Amino acid sequence: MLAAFMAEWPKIRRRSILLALVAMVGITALAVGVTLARIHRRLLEQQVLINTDVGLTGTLQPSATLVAVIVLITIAAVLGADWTQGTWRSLLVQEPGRLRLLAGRVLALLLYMIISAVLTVGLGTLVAMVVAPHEGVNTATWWDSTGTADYLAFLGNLVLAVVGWTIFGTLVAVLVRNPAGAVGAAIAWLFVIEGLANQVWSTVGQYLPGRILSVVLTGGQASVLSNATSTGVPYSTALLIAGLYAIGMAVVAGASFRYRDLTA
Amino acid sequence: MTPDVTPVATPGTLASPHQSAIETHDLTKRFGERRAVDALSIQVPRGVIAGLVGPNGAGKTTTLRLLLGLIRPTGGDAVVLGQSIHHPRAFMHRVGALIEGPAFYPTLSGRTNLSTLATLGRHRHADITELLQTVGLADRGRDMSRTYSLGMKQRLGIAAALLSDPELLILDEPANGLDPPGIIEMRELMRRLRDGGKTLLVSSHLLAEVDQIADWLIVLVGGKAVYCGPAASLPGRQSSGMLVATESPAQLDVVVRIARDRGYTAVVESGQARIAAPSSFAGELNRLAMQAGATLVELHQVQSTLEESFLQIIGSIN
Repeated sequence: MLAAFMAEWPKIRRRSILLALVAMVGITALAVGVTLARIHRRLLEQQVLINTDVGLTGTLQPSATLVAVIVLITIAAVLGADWTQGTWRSLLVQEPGRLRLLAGRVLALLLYMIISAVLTVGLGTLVAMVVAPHEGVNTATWWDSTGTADYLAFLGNLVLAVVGWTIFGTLVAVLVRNPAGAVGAAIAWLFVIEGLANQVWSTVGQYLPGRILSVVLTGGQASVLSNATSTGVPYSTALLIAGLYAIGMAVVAGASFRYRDLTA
Repeated sequence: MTPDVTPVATPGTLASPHQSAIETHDLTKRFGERRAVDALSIQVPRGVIAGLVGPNGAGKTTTLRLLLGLIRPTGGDAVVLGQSIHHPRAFMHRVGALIEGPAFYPTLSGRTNLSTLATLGRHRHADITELLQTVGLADRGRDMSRTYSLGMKQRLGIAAALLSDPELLILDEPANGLDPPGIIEMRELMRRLRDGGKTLLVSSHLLAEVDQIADWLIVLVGGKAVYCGPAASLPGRQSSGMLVATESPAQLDVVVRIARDRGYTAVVESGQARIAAPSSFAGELNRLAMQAGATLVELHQVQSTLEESFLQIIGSIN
């Protein structure tokens, strides 16, 4: 597994994967800038909230959701492409232990995604700290003891969500075995199937993977700054369900990759 | 229909299992109702170049994929370098393979592609430069592999297959996309590897190419082996006939008449008599021709090409 992990890094330096980081940073900087620049035109409740200890995390939350989507798309596309390029067979000739190979690769990609997400949030924070004073926002409360704890919790939840999205992306790629198909299936699941399920039968819909990971990402406290809709699932429950989902998805992805014929 | 070409070698008859690089026993792979590989029992001794030939859809690539553990058999078993194919980790570090065309990351250089595979397989990175030289890619190693021609990708695929300095090389259509000098280099490389003690299993539809390099042949038709044995013993290869030249055309007619009188088919082609007779007839023909006043200035045996033998086998099955 270590060999598969190490062998993945030169591939991660490919432009297509580095693009994910660029997209994350760009979108986050833009979202943070837009949120703060328009703060005076927002609801009073939001204007008040921005000056509290959750002001910074509330500003970063919308872009964190986009980061999560980018993680999902990148993982699904990168792993799915190995079927269409036929590179799995080259890799399996060198490392025939299929689970070792998949686990090593996914861990390397996961680490890259975590680093990218944290780096993105760091840069988003920097943008917020630069823009906020110009918009008359008091940033002192962002870094008091409660604010700092909120910020660290936000980072921790982001990392957990990235882990979840990475496993989800891996499952979709392994089942669909095609980059475009995998990305399409992932997006369709999140925005169509889960969206519809939530509309039609919200009691069940709120427990679907996408919704649960959103709860984990927001720490169960969707901020009014992000305009995110809260679900009725408490954070601790969401965390437990997300863990079960992650294990289940990893088992299904691993079994599928191990036992299905490689004909590509 | 059961082919009437009896396999010369069946597993365990020519060599004991530990002497074989590959042995399959009733190996079967079904895709739905279709049997891509059908109760295949073959053997490849160590230290040979074995050619795997057959018409399109004969099951060549499926067989190679089974041997490499990329797909699972529906039935039967196979042993590669003494290990069951159900446990590829036990033998794959001693196997190099180029299967169904070279597959690399297009935006990585040839060298980086090899480097990642070397890391993955825990092979020596120091050998990469030498391998690139061996396959003639030393000056293009730093270019992105997407800029390579098919022949260059093929060369890179061979280099990847050699990364582990394997005991067994499994190559699927290695001459694909290579230009004539490249094909000659590939042939020489394969011979060098064989002479160095390695075993090569080479699948190819280029029968003339296989004819030049293979010591051992496996002929697949419809997922079954209709022949597995030494290349020289392929049915129809030894008894193709002889070519005879005489001092004059009139003497050639005499020779043709002698052969026909003995019940053999004989025709005159390009100033020579082509006689379909076993080699044992050569002495008798020479003596009878001399008695009839014809002087043979040339008499040599003709071995049919692999292509001819292959067509003969296919014909006998159909």
